[in-house]
Amino acid sequence: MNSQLFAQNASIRGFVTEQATGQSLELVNILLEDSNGEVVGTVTSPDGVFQFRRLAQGQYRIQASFIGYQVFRDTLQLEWGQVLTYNIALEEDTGELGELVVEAQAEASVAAPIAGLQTIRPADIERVPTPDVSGDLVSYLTTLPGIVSTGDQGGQLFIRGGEPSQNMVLLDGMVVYQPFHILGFYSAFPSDIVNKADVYAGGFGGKFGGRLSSVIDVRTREGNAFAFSGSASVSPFLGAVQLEGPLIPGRMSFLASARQSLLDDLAGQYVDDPLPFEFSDLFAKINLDVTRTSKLSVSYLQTTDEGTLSKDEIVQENDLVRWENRVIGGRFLFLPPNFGGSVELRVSYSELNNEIGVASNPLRLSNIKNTHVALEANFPGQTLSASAGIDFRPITVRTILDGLYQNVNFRIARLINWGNYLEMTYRVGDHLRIQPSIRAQFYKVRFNPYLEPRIRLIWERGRHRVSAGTGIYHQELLGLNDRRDAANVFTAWTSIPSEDAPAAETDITAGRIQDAFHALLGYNFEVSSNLQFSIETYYKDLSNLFISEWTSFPRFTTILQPATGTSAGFDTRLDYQRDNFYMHLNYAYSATNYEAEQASLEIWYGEETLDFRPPHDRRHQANVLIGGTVAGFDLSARWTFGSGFPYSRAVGFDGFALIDDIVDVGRLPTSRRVIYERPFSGELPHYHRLDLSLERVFTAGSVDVTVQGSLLNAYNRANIFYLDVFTLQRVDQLPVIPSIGLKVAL
Amino acid sequence: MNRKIIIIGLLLLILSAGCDSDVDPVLGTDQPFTLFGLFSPQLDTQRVLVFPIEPELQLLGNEALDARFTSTDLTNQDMRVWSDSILPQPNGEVNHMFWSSFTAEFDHTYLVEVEDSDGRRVEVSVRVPPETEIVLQDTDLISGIIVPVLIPGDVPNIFKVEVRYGFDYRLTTAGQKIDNLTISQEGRFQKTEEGWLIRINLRSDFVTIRDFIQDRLPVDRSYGFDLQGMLLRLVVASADWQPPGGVFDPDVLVQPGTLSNVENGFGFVGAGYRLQENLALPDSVKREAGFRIR
Repeated sequence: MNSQLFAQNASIRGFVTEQATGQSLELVNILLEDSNGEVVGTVTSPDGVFQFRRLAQGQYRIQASFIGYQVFRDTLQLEWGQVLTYNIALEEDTGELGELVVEAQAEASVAAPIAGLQTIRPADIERVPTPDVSGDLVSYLTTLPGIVSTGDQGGQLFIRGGEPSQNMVLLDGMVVYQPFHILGFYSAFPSDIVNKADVYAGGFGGKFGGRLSSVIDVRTREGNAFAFSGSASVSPFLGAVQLEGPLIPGRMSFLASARQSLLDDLAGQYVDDPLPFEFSDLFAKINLDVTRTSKLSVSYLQTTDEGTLSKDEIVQENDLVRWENRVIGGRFLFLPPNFGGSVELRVSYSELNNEIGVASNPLRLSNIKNTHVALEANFPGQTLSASAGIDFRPITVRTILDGLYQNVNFRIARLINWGNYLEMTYRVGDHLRIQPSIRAQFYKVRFNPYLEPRIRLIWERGRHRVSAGTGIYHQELLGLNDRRDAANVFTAWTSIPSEDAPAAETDITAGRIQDAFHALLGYNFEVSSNLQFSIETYYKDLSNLFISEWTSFPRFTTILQPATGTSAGFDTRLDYQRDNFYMHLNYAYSATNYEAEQASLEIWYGEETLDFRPPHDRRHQANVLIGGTVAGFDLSARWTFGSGFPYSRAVGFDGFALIDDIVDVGRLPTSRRVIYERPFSGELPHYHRLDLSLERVFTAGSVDVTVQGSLLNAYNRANIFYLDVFTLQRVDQLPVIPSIGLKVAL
Repeated sequence: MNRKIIIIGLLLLILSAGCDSDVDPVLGTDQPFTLFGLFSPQLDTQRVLVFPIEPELQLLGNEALDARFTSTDLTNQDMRVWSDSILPQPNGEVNHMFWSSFTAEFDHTYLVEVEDSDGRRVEVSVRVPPETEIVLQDTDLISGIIVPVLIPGDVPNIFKVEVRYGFDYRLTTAGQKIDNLTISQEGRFQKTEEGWLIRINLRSDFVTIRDFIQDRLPVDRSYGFDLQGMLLRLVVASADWQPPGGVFDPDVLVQPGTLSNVENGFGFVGAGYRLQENLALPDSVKREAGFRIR
């Protein structure tokens, strides 16, 4: 036996890429057959990596297959102890129409979520009506059940009860703190640069840490390593340019994208309501195949947003909101010799500057900077796969808050986050996958980790799939929003109060790391080859949350009060696709409740804690997405419904003076005051909207010209976006807007 | 056919359920005013701030407030109409302070009524506490160095009880220094049949003074602390002038309805006066507490 094992010490590993572009291919089936006819198989990782270990010397037949590509076959001779690097380039299969149809189905997935995970491909994104030709990831995200957006303005996403600051958004492994643009159709992720996005609405594995709610893990394309291509597009909303091509043919490529909003100059000219928004994003990426067993990529992202939610021109300057993301990072992936897997080193720097008010003297300012170093090793296997890693993040957060009705509040904190994780995948028989993981998350440089065990289970048989996930999560960073607004776009990033601070003994919030427990269970049934039904239920228990203090002083504050919360609900969806027609229907029910623990609650309400619905608790949400191709035109329609958000109503406004001595009351400092009803007992009107788009591609030689017409908010619903309870200022979301877009691609 | 009708009906139901897009974020109230002020026999003019309860958060203008402010001394039925005055604030706000030139009488009850032209009215009844004094009792050396002080009579409430200690000490660098420190006596007083009894813990206060100064300055410890004076101060107050938890925390009290005695409105109108007395203690008591005796 030992001698047999000893003899099985050869291995094969390599990358699988697309022959035409050099793009890495994920989920390619690789089969290896030895001379006895015994077959082992694996699939490639997101980087196209495959590996077979413990092979005996001898002759093998290797086969690589993937929908839409010609099957690759070859014969190999392995020597005793040999570590063979064998890279495969798959050639696109353009020979038969039938196979092209299959490819379209595979790319535009009707895939149901698996234990909270939904994978999104560019073709999915393109199905959603948007105001211009190129799609954007956020447009698709907002069609998913369980993801609640503040609408077409604001740039905030709430995922299954989680707040925006509890979502981790990654671009090629780099954190992007506020990736969604102020106009809700756009994010830092245009579909042109996206390879895929994994959206974990909960129950994510040990690889990810430092967030309570969800992970959006976006991977960009690598750029064409063999030929130049590019596109330019323009619409009343946006102008965009995208370019890619080889720097060293076959080895080094680049991908670049730049977008600039044109709202003021174009759309604003024919819309009655002002559109005082401006945003831009710039993305650039360079990929290099350093050797046959290693790859290096460097990515850079910069986004800017500026706009005001106020209709009042006099106060617009003070309400001007700006934010800017800067992210840069490198990723080095290599297959070390005599090591049964791949190793990945990532180094990145992320920064977000967020402010409101006059640029030279902002009323509120929040700044967060984060350096991230991560080392990760992956060990693929037929029965057991594993990955392990360590990441280290020094973070600095700074907030300065001021306003008409408040004192200056300044806070700066330097945090050290680091974590280790081990994640495994066991394949038990043909139908069951078990993915246990453990993460040790540290929030200080000392040995006091928060242990985070997690597990995901996937059982598939025939047309049925059952998946489940559970786990524990912690988060130190806080994102605070202004309680007075029914919706708002300014987030103050800060940290939990330090337990080392002098006032910690009397501060009940000190040292309480936010934590969450997730549990989810899903079922997917493939009714037919065209129709899928899925349902997923979830429960999140949230502890040590921090919310802004409640005060009747009309002010924004980072003074915190502790809270706990739960979020529970279900997402259900029906996906139908046949030939050139598709229809996605989904409905989500969600109930999120918080319980505040502020010390004064007993005095104010006669209760030690106070149950309330947080302002993002949208109970019902439904989406209908229908589209198809008719006479060469791509048509799509999307109708969205969301029940109203809770908000705190005011009874009225008066003044306050503290009478605590025998004084001349004329000399007392006074403040205006809000007389609130019980917190968050009001509900805003429901949200619903219909968007339509019509698109056609004209081809002339190597040039594709796409013309798109769209109609947003087709029946001109007055959906409320912003309500300032203090000033009664109401800002609605976009009215009916027609738009024509043009895209030229080479 | 029936199925189509049901589907269309359901769609219409969903659409109609979400048709209303209006929102009314301010509920409004019939309560017209919020009052903050006090009556005191130590003031020759009584003043109360009046805030109208409005449906919008806006700065008040310079125009007179639609309010008629009266006070009635329920003991002798003396009724007065108060005058409005406009107080500009540093932040641009304007406050309305109503005033009347008279001195509140000890142990009298006043009824304040504020009414607008629509007949909406708030009122508050406040009793000025009876006159009293500070009476130093014999020092209790058995259960510590306790200096008892009595506030005799039917006094409903006292707060802000504090002692200002005047003392001198020597610095190792700059010679003799005279200083003072005020120490709250919160939690050291209680109501008895004779009145309010304050039990000043002199030893504890000495330790507080010593540690406070020694932590901050290079004190000549061999010299010690020479107690020069001891001033007891307190507010004698109306019965309901008691914040929850005994602390005047603006972040707690700002919540409408907290420490409020105004009927059909919000706010608080109290009554009271200050009382203070220099306490002369025998040297033996000071020495026992830890102070230096020349």
